[in-house]
Amino acid sequence: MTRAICYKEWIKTRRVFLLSALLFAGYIIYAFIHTGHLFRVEGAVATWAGMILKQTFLLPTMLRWLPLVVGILVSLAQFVPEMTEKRLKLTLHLPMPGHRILIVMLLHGIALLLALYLLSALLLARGLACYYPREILAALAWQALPWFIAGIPGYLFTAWACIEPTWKQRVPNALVAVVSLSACYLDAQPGSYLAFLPCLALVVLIAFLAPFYSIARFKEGIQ
Amino acid sequence: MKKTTIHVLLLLFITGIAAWALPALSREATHLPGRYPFIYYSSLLKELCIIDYGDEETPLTTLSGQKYTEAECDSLLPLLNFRQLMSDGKLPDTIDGIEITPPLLRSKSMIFRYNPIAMRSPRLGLHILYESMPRRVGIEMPGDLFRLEKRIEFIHCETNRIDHEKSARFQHALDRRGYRFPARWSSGNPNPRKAYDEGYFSLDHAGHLFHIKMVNGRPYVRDTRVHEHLDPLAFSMLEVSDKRFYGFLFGKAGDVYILEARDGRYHPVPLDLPPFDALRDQLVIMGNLLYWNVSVTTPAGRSYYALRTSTLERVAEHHVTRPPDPSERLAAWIFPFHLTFVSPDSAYLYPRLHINGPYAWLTNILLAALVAIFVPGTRRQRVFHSSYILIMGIAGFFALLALPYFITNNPRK
Repeated sequence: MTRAICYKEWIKTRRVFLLSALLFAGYIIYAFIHTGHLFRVEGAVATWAGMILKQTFLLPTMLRWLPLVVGILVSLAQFVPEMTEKRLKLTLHLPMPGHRILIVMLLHGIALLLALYLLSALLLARGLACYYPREILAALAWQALPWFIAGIPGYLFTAWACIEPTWKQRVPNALVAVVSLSACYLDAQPGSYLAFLPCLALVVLIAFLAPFYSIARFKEGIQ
Repeated sequence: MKKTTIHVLLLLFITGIAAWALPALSREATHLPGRYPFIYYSSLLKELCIIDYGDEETPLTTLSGQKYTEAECDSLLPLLNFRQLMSDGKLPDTIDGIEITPPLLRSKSMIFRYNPIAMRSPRLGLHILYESMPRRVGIEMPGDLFRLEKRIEFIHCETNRIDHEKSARFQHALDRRGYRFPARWSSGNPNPRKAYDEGYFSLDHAGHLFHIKMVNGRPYVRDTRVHEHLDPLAFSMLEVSDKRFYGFLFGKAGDVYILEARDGRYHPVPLDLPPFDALRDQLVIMGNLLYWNVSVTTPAGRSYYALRTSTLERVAEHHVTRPPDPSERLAAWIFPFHLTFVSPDSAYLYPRLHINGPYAWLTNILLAALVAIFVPGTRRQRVFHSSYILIMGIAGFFALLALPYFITNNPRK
């Protein structure tokens, strides 16, 4: 049954997954073009010194929002179809406990996102290692880490809002999601998030539990 | 997991983020930073004076209350306003029997700012080592950077490869001078906009402070031996025009020194200041030919000191308590506690709980009473909602509002 649900989720998300993979691939290509441009125009010394003197983020800044946008897109592709024509009711009638069905659905989405994020981060790190020493790579990773983490609660909070059976409750859900996700976008130096990672882990944990609350309300027949 | 358990977890979580977001919004809407007066020591009046450039009539007021006009202000603070006095042709020839010349005044003037964030910031681990005796005027950016951890390594920027020959040269010099790896910290001034470069001061594993620089492409490494006088906590480089000292040294006991260079040796000279907390306090020093004007800002207020430039002994002092901030007064009435993630003395993010005082509990009681009276629900629900708001305050109220079953008691909605 788990494999069948995974297949069903793959059917729903494969187009968005492909689109997201294209977005990340486009970003990685652009990041290398941007880095090459920096080295040609500014010079290697000035580029490295910019990181030391001004803590400049050396990659295109759209990386700030890309993981979050992709997380939200995957979630919408997965859960909006469930809420139209009450398909979620049919899904919950499959021969498997409702909470286990939701766990499989959520883990499917998280696995897709993690695969995209990790592959993109590895490709970026591999390519940038030709240009920068490990200290600058670590600083870039620290800068981008909270943005990548934001993609996971972004996905889960979107699922929470989608599964929620009433529109009146979706508004405060979205508000809570926005405020929680803003904790991933605080102005900070590379590495400043080190002591804050447990808080981000808490956000992910709560975001994972939240859709179960909406499912429980859905099963109670709230509308 | 049961729905009730998730409801409680969500309630606590939303209360937490509301205890961060609501006070942050309130602070942004009402924050007015407390402005401390600008205080400078008059070398003629021999006392600290308050300067308010906004007051065009009498910008200078002594601590005893005597007011002076703008022209008098220029004359009474000749070491601060020497450029204006030069332009007016009124620069005195001598002060306290010391001959005054514009080049001398310029070379003895300096400004130093220390922010405790420098101590609590993630370190990149890469440093720029300039040539200390460049052949041409000005500082030139080198083609490499170095890391100093378990060994010293220079990395060429163009190729991103280690320069083994230069690294070995510096490693040999460090080993020969008794530098013990791994390094604890290294401090220098990487900004190229300076008259000259003095390299880095680095604390080795044994607690010895070493001076490392590059002279004519060759390593210059010396043990300063300051560990015989103090336990170094931090060093802040300042390349001053007269080259009297290398920078400011902070000891773990709260002592502040300048590190002077005399007779080819390093001498820490203490500043006559009360204990300074380098992890919390801010320090600003405006030095001139005769006196250093020092301001130390703590969470309680700002202390002003005048030190004699030659000996660094204290000649005057004044304290100003921190001006009230409207946002804090408002917070004290609305939020019994709040969370912050950023701090003025650390670049690291982590949650800090602030207790705002007893008045906000009155607001909590009022809000809890209003909820108990006007919000519908069973007796048990009313008791829970009121008690929660009584403890958690407005943050708890917003958390209840954000979740279902607070205003609407109907389980079908």
